[in-house]
Amino acid sequence: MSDLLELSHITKTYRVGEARVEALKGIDLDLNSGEFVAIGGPSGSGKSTLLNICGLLDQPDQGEYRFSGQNTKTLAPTQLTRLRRDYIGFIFQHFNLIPVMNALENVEYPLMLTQLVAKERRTRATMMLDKVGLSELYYQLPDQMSGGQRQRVAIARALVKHPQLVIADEPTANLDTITANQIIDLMHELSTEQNTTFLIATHDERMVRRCGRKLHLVDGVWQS
Amino acid sequence: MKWLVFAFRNLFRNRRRTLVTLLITATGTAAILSSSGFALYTYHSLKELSANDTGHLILARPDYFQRDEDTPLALGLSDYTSIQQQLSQDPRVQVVLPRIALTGLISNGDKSVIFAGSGIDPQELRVKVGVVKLLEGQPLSEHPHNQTDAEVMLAKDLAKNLQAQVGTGLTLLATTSEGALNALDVQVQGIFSTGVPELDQRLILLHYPSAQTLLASQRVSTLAVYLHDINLTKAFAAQVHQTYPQLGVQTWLDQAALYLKVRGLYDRIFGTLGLILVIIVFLSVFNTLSMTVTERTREIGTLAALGTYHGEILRIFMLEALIIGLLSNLLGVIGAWLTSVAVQFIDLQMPAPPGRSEGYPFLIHFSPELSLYVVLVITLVCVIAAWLAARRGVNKTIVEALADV
Repeated sequence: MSDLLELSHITKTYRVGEARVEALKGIDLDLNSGEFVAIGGPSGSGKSTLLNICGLLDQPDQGEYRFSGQNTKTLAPTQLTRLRRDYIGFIFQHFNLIPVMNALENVEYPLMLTQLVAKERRTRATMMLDKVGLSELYYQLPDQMSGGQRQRVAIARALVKHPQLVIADEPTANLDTITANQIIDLMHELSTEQNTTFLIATHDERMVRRCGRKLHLVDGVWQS
Repeated sequence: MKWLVFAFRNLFRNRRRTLVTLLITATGTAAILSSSGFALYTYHSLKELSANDTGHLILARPDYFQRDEDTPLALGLSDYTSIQQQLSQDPRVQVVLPRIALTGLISNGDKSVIFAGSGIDPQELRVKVGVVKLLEGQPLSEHPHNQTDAEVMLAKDLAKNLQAQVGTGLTLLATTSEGALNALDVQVQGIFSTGVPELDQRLILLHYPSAQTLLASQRVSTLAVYLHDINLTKAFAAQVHQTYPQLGVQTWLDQAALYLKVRGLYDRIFGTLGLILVIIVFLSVFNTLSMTVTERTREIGTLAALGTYHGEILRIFMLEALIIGLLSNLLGVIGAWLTSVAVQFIDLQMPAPPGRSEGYPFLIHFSPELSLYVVLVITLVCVIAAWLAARRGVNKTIVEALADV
């Protein structure tokens, strides 16, 4: 029995035109706090679909998903939003920073959604940016930063609220080797430091090697 | 505050589009305010003109307002002097003037034509601002008894018809209150225009005692009460009605057929115009926000993934529309005010309206109260347009929104 999330017999089917695509075929997954888990597999294997379900961005067709012991199927959309707001951080392949906000404001954004006072928000956001090595770039807009810097901001944004789970979809896909290594190190370090569970979909072998647990998904089923 | 700053910055993402929307909305606001301002000016002018013409209150025997008289002054007021004196003491009253309506023939010896006359107190010419425009001669004298012949003022077309000039002697013929025929020699004191062709062909003005002599009666048709403030009319009418239950009381509005017709027409014209402008503003803001929402679909997905509620995302777009609405309204109100000031310095004339022979100045009345209403309506329209446009983007699933390219 895991203490963070449990997926049992999860299935998800999409319609693409007339065709039905079975993205996940009865997936089981248990994750505990502080785990650093990589999900590998070819494109179209269902990695992103699984991440979307784990991150409460999408609902499975069948099966049961328990997050921190709660059956997510019984939760209303606003409750799911609340869970994402409080417990889940996201790191996207394309960074997905808000272009009109500077680095500090982007990191502060998840805290803006909470009841935290402005001063405390600002302190935590600056600390987080310092941790990811961007102390000089607080007031830079995303389009004034490199890909690596943007991904660091995205990591800071994902971790600033101390989430239980961070979902990262191909976080190093758009980065050069040196920057990718730095990002992997950073994520690993923060995972250990904050005891945060990372669930990472990746093709990047360097990333897979650094993960404590490696899973491989092919055609919607685990492959050992 | 943070959300407002966020919304404000979003407006600068596509500056040209925001500017165009801002200008369309500002133009809409300015156009609504200017056209309404013109209507307000027209209403105000006609209101004053109507009240100056008839008096704010018209007092008569109740049946005077309900049926035609069988003989002149048959339904006239006999005890008007005491009522006139009592009412004149009220500080709200400017003046109370007796008036006699009469008809008959006017002759120059060679030619006789029908006239419609008004026996008045000469003071009436002073309070009838804008109603009677003196073209030649003098208004009726304040002390007419020194004259040999009674004085008369002729409307311009009637004077032309009778080939009369100032000083010309004419004869009035009318039926007396007892049904006999009577004549009165009069001398032309002045020639005037009312701006209404039908009246200019028929109207004469004479002292009411002269009219009483002609009609062989000591009565008057009505008492016209002129107040210092037109807004007191309703309350004062109620008080007069209570004090003099034997009298019929009408207000200027009861007799202002032209004012009511013009107001009805302009309300429809400018109401429709306003509605069209509001629809244009709505479509403009809706179009802008729809494009914005389409462009920012992935961002909407990101915000939702980070835990932003639908309502909070909608709020961002609605705040953007609110800012557009407020800024454009500010511009629009300033534009309308400047227009209202500018037209005062440019001598623009409107063509004569139907039934009148003279045009009137094109002026715009700037109303802060109306501006407030228009600002509220346009801003609300902007926010509703944003809500409708943003709903489509927000209602997409997060996965769909995040996959948007």
